[in-house]
Amino acid sequence: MATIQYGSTGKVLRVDLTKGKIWDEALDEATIRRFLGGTGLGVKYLIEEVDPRTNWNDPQNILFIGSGPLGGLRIPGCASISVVTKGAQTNGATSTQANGNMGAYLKWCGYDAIIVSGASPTWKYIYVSDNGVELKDASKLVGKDTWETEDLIKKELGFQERGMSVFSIGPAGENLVKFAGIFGDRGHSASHNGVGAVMGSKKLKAFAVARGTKKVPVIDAEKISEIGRQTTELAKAFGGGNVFNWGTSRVLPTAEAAGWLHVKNYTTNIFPKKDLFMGDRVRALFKSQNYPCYACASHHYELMEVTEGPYKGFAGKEPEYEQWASVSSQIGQEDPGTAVYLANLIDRLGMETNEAGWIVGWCMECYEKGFLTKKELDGLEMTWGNVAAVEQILKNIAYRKGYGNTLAEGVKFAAEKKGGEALNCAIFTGKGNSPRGHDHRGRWVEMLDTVVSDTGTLQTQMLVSNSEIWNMPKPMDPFNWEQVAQAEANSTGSMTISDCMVQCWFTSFNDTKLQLEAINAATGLNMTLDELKKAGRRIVNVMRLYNLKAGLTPDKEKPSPRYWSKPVDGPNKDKPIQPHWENMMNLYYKLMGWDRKTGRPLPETIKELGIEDIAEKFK
Amino acid sequence: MAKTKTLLTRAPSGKSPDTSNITIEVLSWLKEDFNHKITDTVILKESVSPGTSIMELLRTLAERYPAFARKTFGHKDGLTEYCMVILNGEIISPLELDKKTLRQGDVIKLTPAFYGG
Repeated sequence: MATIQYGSTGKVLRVDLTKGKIWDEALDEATIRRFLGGTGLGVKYLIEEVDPRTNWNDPQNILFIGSGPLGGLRIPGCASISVVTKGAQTNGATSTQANGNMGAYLKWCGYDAIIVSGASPTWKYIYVSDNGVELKDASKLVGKDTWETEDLIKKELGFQERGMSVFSIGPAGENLVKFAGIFGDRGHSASHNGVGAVMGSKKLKAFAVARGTKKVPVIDAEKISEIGRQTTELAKAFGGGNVFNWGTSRVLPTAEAAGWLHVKNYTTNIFPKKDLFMGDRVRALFKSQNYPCYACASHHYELMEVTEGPYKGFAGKEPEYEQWASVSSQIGQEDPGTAVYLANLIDRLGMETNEAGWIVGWCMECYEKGFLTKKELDGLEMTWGNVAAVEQILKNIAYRKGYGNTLAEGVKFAAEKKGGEALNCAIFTGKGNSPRGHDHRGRWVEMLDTVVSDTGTLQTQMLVSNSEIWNMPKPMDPFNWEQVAQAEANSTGSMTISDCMVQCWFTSFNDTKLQLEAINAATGLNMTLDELKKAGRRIVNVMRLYNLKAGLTPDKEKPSPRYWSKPVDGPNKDKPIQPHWENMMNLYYKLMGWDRKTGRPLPETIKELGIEDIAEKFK
Repeated sequence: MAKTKTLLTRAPSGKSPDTSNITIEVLSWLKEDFNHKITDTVILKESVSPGTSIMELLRTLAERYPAFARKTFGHKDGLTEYCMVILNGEIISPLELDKKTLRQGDVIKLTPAFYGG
């Protein structure tokens, strides 16, 4: 098979931690045409090499960390990475992305991706540079948080801040917390579905990739430059330029107004202090410094130092919207400086911010209502907004101390173990993952997406720049179950394409037409729009076939009682989703071409997507 | 401290049988499209004729505020991608904007739509 020549380095790096073996493997053109790159490429290795019945912490599981066809090119948002593995929370296929610089640096070192298999007997980190690849001793890094690890590795290897990209696990990953993530480049994270726990199970502390010097060959360099400019203009214009200028820092009050801010574990939708968290106010009040990813001109990502309140002088990153919400409205905490501290603590311990927020909020509601006692919580008084108790319980989870050992298994496990009324307070899906930091009772399409997703987090999202080519309902009523099912089904594949390009959503905005031009200018594959869309849908269906064999059943595609409960106040209080759920799922399955009883793609769906071989393997 | 500014775009002259007085509160970054800072409080007082729909009201506002017009009606995907309407505390479906008519004392909130996070 012909090795891919353009838009790719033509090879991936393989690391077997059990044997301590490192080798290169060629990437062929047919693979890229079928799986595109990034998430798709990771899925290819997962389905070929990891038996679906393998447990997530088995050394046979692989950990894929990779770039895409646009990685290393001067197109904003394309220095990101995608992580693919069998995740700890669902024990199924996982895909989660992080921004930063590693995707670009890795390709400049000569690799599209790193695929780690096996498990090391002692702690290691992987060092990649122009000069080769080494497995380094990480024993001195054990117990260090993610920011400390980044600093220590750069110091040990003699690299300046932007000379190396380091992604690592913190104590949570080392201790196999089920919602541990992988963090790097000062707080960017690939954090969903316990990818950090998988890394911990392999005794792999970090990936350290130097800023390489090899150029990525492309078929049409002039066109790539033009697409880079167009992408910047798209980002500047989209949504009135708010993401470009403010990242997600302005979202929290907006979410509250529309009723999709999660407040005190879905017990209300009113958060009176919302305006204190407005990005304009916070960036003016605290010291804030833009810290962009490679080739990106936006002000999406900032470093921040708190200048007033109990955490005055604390420096870290500016929380993203989901982080702000997880450590403020969700836990009844009203001080922005404290939110900056807690959000960074979660990152440093190496945990996924949303699950951390859900589980702390669940403990608080259960404590306030008497479902969990102070004794059960190791002496902590988990009242709403009790910051000292929050800080301690987060550490207890990361180090699996006391009741933290139960909470470290995630919301679903802890709630089901406790049972009774406490179970009815917990927010999760039947598969074991929990939602992003929103109240999806005000965003029905994302509740559906979270529940049916095969990645362990949102897989589709309804926002696409080219709504006409995805046949999106217009205008759309976000509380109309038929339109919600249509939007979710029709746009399936759009987000997956971005994740295969490994392009930040806040620069791509799922502009499939521009992405088609980009992939063709980079690779010379001359794909058609239909081919690209089909590739996105193919990867979704391949993950589904894998997950069904791994134990997924349609009855697990259901929200927990609290997750789909009727809001008690706010603008969506008279809009319950539960009465429409069965009809919505029936229509969604039909539009997806899936069997309603088994969840399996129908023969005609399999044939249309050209995945008969994979369906046969996982029948 | 947020700056408060109240605009009387059409000063109501008391209750008239021919008009309904309504209040519009503009939220979050939509305020910039109404020539204000995001930290301002932006409240518009309007008088509308009987039978005026929410969509007609939005089009009237769009005539006065070009940035609002450009980003809502000027967007190729229409209003719903950018602006969400809350009438008396309840989100109104984009499919209902033409049908819902305004009544005396109605309070409308305009807030940006946002996906992802």
